[in-house]
Amino acid sequence: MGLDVTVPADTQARIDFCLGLRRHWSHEMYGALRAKYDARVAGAATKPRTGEDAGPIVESLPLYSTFAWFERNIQKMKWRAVTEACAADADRLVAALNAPVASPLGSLELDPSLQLPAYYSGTDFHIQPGGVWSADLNAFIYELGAKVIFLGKNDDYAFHRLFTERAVPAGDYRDILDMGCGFGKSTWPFVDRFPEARVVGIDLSAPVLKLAHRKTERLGKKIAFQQRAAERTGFPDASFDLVTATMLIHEQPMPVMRTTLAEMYRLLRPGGRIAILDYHRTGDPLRDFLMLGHAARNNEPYMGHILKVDTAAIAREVGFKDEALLPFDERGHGPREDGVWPERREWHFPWVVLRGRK
Amino acid sequence: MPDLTFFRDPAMDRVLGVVLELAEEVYTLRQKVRALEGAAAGGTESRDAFIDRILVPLTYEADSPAPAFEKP
Repeated sequence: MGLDVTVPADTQARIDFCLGLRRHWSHEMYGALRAKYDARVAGAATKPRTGEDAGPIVESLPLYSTFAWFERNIQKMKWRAVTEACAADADRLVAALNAPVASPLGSLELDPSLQLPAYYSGTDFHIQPGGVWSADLNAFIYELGAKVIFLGKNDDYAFHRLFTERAVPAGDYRDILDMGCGFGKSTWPFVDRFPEARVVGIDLSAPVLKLAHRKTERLGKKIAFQQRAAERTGFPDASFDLVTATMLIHEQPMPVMRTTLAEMYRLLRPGGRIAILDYHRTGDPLRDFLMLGHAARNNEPYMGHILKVDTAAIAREVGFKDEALLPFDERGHGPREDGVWPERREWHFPWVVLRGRK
Repeated sequence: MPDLTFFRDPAMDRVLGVVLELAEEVYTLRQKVRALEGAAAGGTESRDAFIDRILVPLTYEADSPAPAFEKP
């Protein structure tokens, strides 16, 4: 019990149904759309080269409307189901979230005076009603929803372990900062891989930081969680050896994303590194067009920008050296050092790892 | 605030929503019946087969396409 959501059988069936819908959508429906797109392109005089080029062709396919509808509405069904599960036990969960932690290994520092940026508080990202920040219960709803998005296979957050173990260069890191740490799933593997390091996680949302702190203590890991903005952390210059962010920068407006990369550079000691897991265009016009649409369908209003720029070039502009942008295959390979996007029959997110050194 | 719509006729967006809500309800009841009968829940293969079956009209290609009829 405690921090775990008790999911009634009926609600579990609804969640399972959403998982099944998502599998059908990403495999069968995407596969059918791909086949129709390929057939149309095969007969076209001019082949699309970019996502924007592919747009008119994809939009002319009757199946595209259905594909797009399912993407948004499966997500909405998911939130309804996980909200139902959490709301049924709201009092107990919120009490657990605010209960004192006896003899904590790590720490939690909230900043009630922190003004949430308008770009953050003005959007229900991922269509989660109220976002992750507006109520304590939303932290639990977000956590349960995060499991569903990974087709139910992410219960042990293997995705984040893979990133930490394969995509982060070996190093003698004394101080590690995880920006946009959420409820801690991206931060925990850093404690496991670098047990001697001081690990700090920051996020804008107080509810998810409270959940992160308590879950981390339950796991017996030591992490300092602090409520801070990634683009303006307030930490002293040169106070970390590794700064990391997972699924953060695509949610920021472009000027804020650039400021965040510059802030990472400022925070690093000479020789320090960044390791960022995020999205990038793939060069496959169909996938790139669908990803641009995903931004709108999943309430991620700034994602389109990151799909159109070269984030490695921006990292270089703010001062980083040895920058590299590598496709990331979450099925077990991790970063593709050859830079080649893996062939995949099903729909998947275009993960990339951005590395750089100060 | 109006939500995104995807079909030329927004009523289609709503109708598809109703269909999916009904399908979810059928799946939930199906699981409940299995539990009452003491049967195993069925697992993901059973779930995926159920969903593939009800959604196949959205993507299937006709296996016996209609011939071109001559005007009598």
